[in-house]
Amino acid sequence: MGRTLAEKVWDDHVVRHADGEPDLLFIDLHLLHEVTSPQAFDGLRKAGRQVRRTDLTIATEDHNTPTLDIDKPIADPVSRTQLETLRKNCAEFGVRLHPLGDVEQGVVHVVGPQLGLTQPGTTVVCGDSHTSTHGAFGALAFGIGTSQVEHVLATQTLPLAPFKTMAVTVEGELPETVTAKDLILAIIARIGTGGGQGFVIEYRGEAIEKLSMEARMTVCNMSIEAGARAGMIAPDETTFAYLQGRPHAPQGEDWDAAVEYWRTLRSDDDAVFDREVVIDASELAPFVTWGTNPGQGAPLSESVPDPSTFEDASEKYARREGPGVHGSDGRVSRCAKSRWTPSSSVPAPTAASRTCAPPPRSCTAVRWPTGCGCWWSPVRCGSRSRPWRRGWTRCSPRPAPSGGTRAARCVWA
Amino acid sequence: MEAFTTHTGRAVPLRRSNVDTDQIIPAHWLKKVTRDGFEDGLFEAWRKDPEFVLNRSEHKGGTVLVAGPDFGTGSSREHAVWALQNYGFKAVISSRFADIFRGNSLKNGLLTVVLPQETVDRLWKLVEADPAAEVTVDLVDRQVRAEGITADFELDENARWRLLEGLDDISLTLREEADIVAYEGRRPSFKPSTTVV
Repeated sequence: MGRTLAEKVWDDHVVRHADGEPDLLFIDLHLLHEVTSPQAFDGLRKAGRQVRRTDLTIATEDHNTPTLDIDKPIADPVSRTQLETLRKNCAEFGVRLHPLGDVEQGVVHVVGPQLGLTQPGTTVVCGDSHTSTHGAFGALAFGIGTSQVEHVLATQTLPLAPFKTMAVTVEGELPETVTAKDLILAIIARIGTGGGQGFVIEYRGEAIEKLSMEARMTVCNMSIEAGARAGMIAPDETTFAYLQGRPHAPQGEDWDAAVEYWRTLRSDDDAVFDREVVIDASELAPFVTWGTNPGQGAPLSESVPDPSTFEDASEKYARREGPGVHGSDGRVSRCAKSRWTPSSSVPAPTAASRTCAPPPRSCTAVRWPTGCGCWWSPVRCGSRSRPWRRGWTRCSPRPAPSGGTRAARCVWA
Repeated sequence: MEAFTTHTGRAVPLRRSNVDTDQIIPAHWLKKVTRDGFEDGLFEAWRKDPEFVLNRSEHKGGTVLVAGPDFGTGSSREHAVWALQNYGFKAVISSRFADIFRGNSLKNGLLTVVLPQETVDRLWKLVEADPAAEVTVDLVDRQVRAEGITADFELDENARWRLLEGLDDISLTLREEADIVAYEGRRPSFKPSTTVV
């Protein structure tokens, strides 16, 4: 039977396999920053251990760093201590560090790709959940906790439990106004913030293949917001073109050997995924989130649910306190984190928006149902806990078969 | 790591779903460079509300947290586990945990127990009606017990064994030194290196 991209990369990194035990996987690249590493270095020191592979480890300062006045001492004493601790640890253990002010210093998930360190078919870990970003290159990349940071520093390996595979195929072309962020928010709204749990998601299809590397990184970055362990995109000519000539990309014969290997990193035609989701790119609209978790999202054309219908305290809190950005002209606006709140002229949700007909029987699957003019999914409509199994939300901007409006609607059982 | 066999204590009902690690321990607490002293940051925003469950006198001293689904989502910070442990929690029960949080908790000896939501509902009702009710989390028999409730839970054998024995992952892996060296020997030369070029 064929293997998926994720399975191929996994198999190529198994150091030790024993039945009933997690596989021990080799880690090709370990990225460090000041927040999740101090306790790991401290653990090494206490146990008298060294960093096993300093040549596969790189650190940058990026979480508690100011973006202005970087030449001045850091005002916040606790942040300063954390950076000083990273500098001391890197010097003591011989780890390459790009400190504040260094030309290569920056967000850890940008440093790896820009230096050409993030490569197809590698395993990449970092003590940061958004390590999934590196999956855009066809790497198996995931966030780890501080205990695992210490484990990788000491052994360059990680014992890992097997994952499930999910294919998210985005067919067709994205409309001009729809960005990679809209795409991933729509995917999350479709599968839910917990929908990716235990899965490595492979994003594929025409719309994905046409994305730039930066856009692919945006998509893979937010895999974690779907609860997934990692997100991946098969490497192709766009990937190779991005990497060629970067400081740490392979050179000469190594480049040729690498590209030959990278070309094998595609899911086989007969590979079987544990779950498959198909999305029609042409149906997508710009997407916004209205609360504090990325599953609380809707296309611009839909209404925001009424918080009084939420049963769960967290959901209520998220809706009421959601940070958001107010649109200056009375419409909703988007910000970097795709969070927004409606300003006063946005119509309040009405009772009518909760009284639509139930979905046709053939439309009750989570997958896009064949032959239906809409898709219905049992995602939350108000509360996550109760109504999501009993009510249905139409999440697509596509008109309902009956020609209904585009507002999100729920039907309460 | 401290071994976990069985624990009996009072439970704290946290009727919230999708509690992410930033709600468990807000980002500004991540500036600390030690593993302790995070207890005051636990659920910091919610604890400003005097009615929040951890602020109620009847739930003081609880050691088993019973939370809504999707507990521990978001950032991979292990500080979330330390904060729960520093506060005094020995086990967390939920119908669904985020993967990274679950991995982190099991590595630190905080037992995360997955039970069906209906059992979680029954536990909530029990401890809300009687805050002094005791809940036993038994890893030996993989069972949660409370008055009128007996629920078996799953935990993979390897994780269970490490918790029962209090075994540290790094020592276990270092026993496989020969396999690691053999793997390093067959890695292709085109693989990336961080050595300055």
